[in-house]
Amino acid sequence: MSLTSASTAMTVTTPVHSLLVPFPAVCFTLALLTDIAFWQTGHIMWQNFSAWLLFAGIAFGVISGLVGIVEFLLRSDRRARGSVWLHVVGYVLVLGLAFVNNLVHAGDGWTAVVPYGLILSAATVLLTILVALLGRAVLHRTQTRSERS
Amino acid sequence: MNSSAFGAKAIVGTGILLASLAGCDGTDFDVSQQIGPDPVLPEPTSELMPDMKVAEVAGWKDDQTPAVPDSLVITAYAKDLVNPRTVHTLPNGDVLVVQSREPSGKPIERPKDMIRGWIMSMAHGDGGGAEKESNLVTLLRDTNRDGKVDERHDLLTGLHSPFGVAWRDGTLYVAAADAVLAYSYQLGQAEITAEPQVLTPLPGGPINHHWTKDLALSPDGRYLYASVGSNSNVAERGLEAEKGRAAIWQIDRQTGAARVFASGLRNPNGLAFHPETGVLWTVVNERDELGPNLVPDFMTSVQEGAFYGWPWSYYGAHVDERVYPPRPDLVEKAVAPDYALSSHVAALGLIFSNGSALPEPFANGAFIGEHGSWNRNTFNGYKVVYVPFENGRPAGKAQDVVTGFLEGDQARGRPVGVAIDGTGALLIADDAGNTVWRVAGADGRVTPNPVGTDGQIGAAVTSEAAPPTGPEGAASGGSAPPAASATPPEPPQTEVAPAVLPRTADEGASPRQP
Repeated sequence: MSLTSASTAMTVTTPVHSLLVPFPAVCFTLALLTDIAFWQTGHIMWQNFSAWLLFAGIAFGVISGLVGIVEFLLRSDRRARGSVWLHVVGYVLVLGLAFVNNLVHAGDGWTAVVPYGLILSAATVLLTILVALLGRAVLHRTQTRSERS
Repeated sequence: MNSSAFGAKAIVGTGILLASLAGCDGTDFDVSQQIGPDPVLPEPTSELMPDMKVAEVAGWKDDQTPAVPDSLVITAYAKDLVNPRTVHTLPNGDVLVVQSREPSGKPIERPKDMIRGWIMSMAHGDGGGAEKESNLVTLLRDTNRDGKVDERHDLLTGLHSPFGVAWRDGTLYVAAADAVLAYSYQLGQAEITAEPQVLTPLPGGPINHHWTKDLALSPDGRYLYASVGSNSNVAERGLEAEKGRAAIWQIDRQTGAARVFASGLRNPNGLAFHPETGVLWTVVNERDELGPNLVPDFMTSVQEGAFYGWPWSYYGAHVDERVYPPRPDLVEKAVAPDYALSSHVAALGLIFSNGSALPEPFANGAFIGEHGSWNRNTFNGYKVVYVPFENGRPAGKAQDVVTGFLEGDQARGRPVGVAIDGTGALLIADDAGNTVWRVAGADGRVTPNPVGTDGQIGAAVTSEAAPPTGPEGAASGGSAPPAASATPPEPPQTEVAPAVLPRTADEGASPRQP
């Protein structure tokens, strides 16, 4: 029973990939918080935190993505394509947004965060949540369908 | 599918965002509009990916030289130097070549610093191979005044990234990256064995972003003027890092006491007194990442006590939105510079040609060494230009004098400091090409007497058997602070970031509403 549900979950993610995938999500979320802190205080430290968090998020995001591709290709069971594609597209979009945000944060001074950096940080977090929720919904549907058959 | 439709939309959205943030490159912009007293300043653009184009250093082949107009000839004065940045002529005609590398140990504060550092190392030719020892001062002596170096001595070695030098009364002053040092040195000496005294500490590391400290001696010989560049592009390391920086300091030669003479100058170099008016001039590198045609570097006379805008504004009241919190009170005070040299040329050297042996069209004006751009898609600078003067003020367009430092996308060399040698010819320190170039009139004329870079005429000073001056005296007092003749303001301007006058109480509360 528990084995079945675990293997179903793997149709969406993959073991090492699923271990790494929280890194970018956490980094980008914290970057939003440090951006807000910079916006409110003007203290350079927070801006530097944001820049490193976004950088770490991208770095782990890319590593995790590559691992995910390898794991997906190695796997014999490739059911539930729909939910995999949702995950892939969502993942690429989040990373793309975060990459742009990295570039914005690489600017100098106040305008590297306010307003565009802050907006992009918020958008990245929102998109991450959205993709996670959609993924959950699709997974649920797939699961129900596969249980019926 | 729903999800892919959503995805496609988002991709397009990101694409539009990218395109709009990237901004367009004004390749059709006429850069000559930014040369002169009243430059055209386009609207700033925020570039998502700042334009970066650095010329890889190729070096000079044996027979290659930069190009000069027909009325001039150019020869290699000294080769096989190690990053020569400043050339300085002593009153007896000996030439000092200051060679230096950027100090190490600059902390990496942001991911950008790593990536930027890697790209920049390309531009300075730090590629493979064992590096030769730099950070030295070499003396070049042309004993028979034929424009060729007859003797060469390494005068000082193992310095801490030196840049400016000055000499007066048996003392050689060297501006290292963190202090003005004073060496006992009589003209004609070919070596220095005495230990230096610290005349005045200057803002140094560990960041020391703009580390080149230039020096000039006031015409009356009483003061040294030292340039102290900013610690950042536009105060992005915080104002605390800018204490005493982006300024020109005035240093009492006898006591070492220092004060800020002028401030708000992002990266001033090439300090020189105009020989006719006795006014201090400098060239300044302005800020980056506002677009390919902002902000023009400039040459300006330096008014005592004046604030020139950095970091809050440029060219008077053009506010830089990147600096927070804004300081409209200081923007209001900001003085506009005298003469724009166009954007990102990286002007680092300045010398007046008055009294040189150069032909008539170059007899009354300023030569400026332009190290060359990185923050543009098309190169700018990488040459020595001449700005004609009248009555001690710029009068006319800058014209290219020494060119050919670029070959396609590679740099054979990059000009930095300039000077007039002991025969009245122009010298150019080429830090990437490891050469000092000599540009003389094609007519072969030389001046009757050597004239020092600080305006001293050889004959007038050689009789000097001066008693030990300031530095020695100050040193005997141990660690006691130098006895300043004037009471410094409280707190000293040199301790205020950046070096503007202290705030009044009502300015203290910064506007905090985002």
